[in-house]
Amino acid sequence: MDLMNNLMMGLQVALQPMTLAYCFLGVFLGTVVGVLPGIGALAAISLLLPISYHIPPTEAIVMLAGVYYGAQYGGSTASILLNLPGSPSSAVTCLDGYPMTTQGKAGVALFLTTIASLVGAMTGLIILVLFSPVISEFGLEFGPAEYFSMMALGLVAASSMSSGSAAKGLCMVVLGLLLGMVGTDVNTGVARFHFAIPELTDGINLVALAMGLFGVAEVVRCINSVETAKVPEKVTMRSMIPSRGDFMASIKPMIRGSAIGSALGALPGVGPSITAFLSYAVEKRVARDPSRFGKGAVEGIAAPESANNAAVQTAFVPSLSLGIPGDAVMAVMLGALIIHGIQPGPMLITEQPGLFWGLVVSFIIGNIMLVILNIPTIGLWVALLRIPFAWMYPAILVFVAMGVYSVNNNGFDIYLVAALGVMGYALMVLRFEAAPLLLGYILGPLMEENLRRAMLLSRGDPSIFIDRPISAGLLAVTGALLAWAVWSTVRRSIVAKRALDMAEGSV
Amino acid sequence: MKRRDTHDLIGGLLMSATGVFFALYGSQYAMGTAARMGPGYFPIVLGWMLAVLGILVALPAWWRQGNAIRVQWKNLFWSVASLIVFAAALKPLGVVLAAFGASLVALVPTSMRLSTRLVVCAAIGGLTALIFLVGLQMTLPMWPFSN
Repeated sequence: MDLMNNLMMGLQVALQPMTLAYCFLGVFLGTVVGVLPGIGALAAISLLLPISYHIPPTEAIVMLAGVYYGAQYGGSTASILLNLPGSPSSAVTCLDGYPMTTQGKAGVALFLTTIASLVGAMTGLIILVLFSPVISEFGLEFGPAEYFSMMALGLVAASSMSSGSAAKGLCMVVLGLLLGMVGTDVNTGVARFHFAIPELTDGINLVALAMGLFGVAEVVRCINSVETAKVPEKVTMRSMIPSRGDFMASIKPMIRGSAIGSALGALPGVGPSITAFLSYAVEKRVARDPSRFGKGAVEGIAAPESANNAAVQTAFVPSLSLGIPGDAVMAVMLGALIIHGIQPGPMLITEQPGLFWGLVVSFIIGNIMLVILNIPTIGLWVALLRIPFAWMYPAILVFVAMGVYSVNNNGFDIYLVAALGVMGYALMVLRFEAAPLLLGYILGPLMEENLRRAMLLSRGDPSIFIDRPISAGLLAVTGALLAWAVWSTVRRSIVAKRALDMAEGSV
Repeated sequence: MKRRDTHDLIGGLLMSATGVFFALYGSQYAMGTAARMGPGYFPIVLGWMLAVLGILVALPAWWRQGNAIRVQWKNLFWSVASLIVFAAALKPLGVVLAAFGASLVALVPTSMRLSTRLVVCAAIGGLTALIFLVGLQMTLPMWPFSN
């Protein structure tokens, strides 16, 4: 009955008026940024980071987490109504959601994705509650070698599983690690890579980096782009009620999607987007008539939406139980905890039970709020999509500047965010993904610290990483991932070379 | 001759250059030994790693077709300019005018009517002051030279 007691304690924390208010604020803003194409959860969370510094840690994390899972609910709205994903993880929902809109079933699609999201989130939550305490006990036996190997696995997984080439993902991770080196070295007190700028001896401001990469760069891309100029039709609540057949047909896909999402979402590096794609592929395979997919099949929206919401919940498992973030959003959230003086790690659940269980219960409350936000008030979100982007983006830029200024009350950070915005846009233009970079930036100092400690313990003998079984296992998986990435890159290069030879031969 | 994949070619070479820069710049910090790593050890290793990875990105791109790079220079220039205007105007002119000016600069690349443009900018100025000065109690001047 330990679990019951813990959940009761969590309920007490989560039901405090201030916690409830921040939870609502989080899921509300999450839905807003989820609905709007172009601005993602990461941009919103980095905008809120400065505010979170001024409120107690539990409330801060409840709010930031609310943005993260709220964005998953909102993301499907633009996918269904406009055929463009509001957030990357709802890209699959376009495939069958938009055809439903063209058939006049937009309301039904919106209703079913909301229910699917709720089912997925609740399944993921159960996994989170059952497994986090167990894994954290396991994590207590981790030494520096295990931590280093675990982080290496997380970084390699995040880079090789992201879309596009693995080499580019790894580049981003290493560049992120290097940016994390800027600032004063904890062990020796030497200031590194500060280029004689006094502000840089404290390191690159996390908020400035996140906002430059995800806020400024996205704004530059979306100004006067065709995407943001589309206007959706109005949706009434009456049109949302699904037929019995549609509802029954989506139950099994929801369960399968939730299972895939919660199982894979807990692995470091596997984000909600990948689980959504996988569960769509599974649905297509088990369907009696796969040709219906892409033409408005309810299975095609129910399964991926359950999967991405489940994955978002279980992504908290490694973050809260081991202190190792699985993706960039988690990394930013752990960064916020560190700023509050709370060290994420296996001790977190026992040392800060109020925070952990309060957060868990706030997920339940937040998800219920989201269903209420997404069904009766759907008209509001559709209206939001009708606002021209040009009315909003100057405000985003100003809020970015104000937000980053408020962290240190220093104007230098605004210039820094402008420079990092240029870098973020350059990466976007050259098709490098910025999320692994942010993950690397946050893990950089932690990784260096653990590497140094492990090598100090072993007196400079690197075999410490292979002698310890857990560390060796983690590194073996990392090596396998790298080998697979190399192999697939080589294979793709050969195919591309043939295509080029053909093209040049025919000229 | 067909076009090469210039994205990865340029991107990879830029990464290599960045890696080499970090590695060389980092060599002014002490390396230490494997058992007692100095502040230079990890960054130098990472720098060379990035240099190699960049080449691995650029090399296959030479044997691949690709599209031209499209850069929205105008959007980029005015967005960055907007941030710089805000940073420069914040202390002397106060939050409201800084936000107004920054929004005006940010809106240059759009085709908005002048009256709408001014209304949007004024609204953003008011909203920013309301959220950050009234709501979050930040200590910054609201108007020029008001304290």
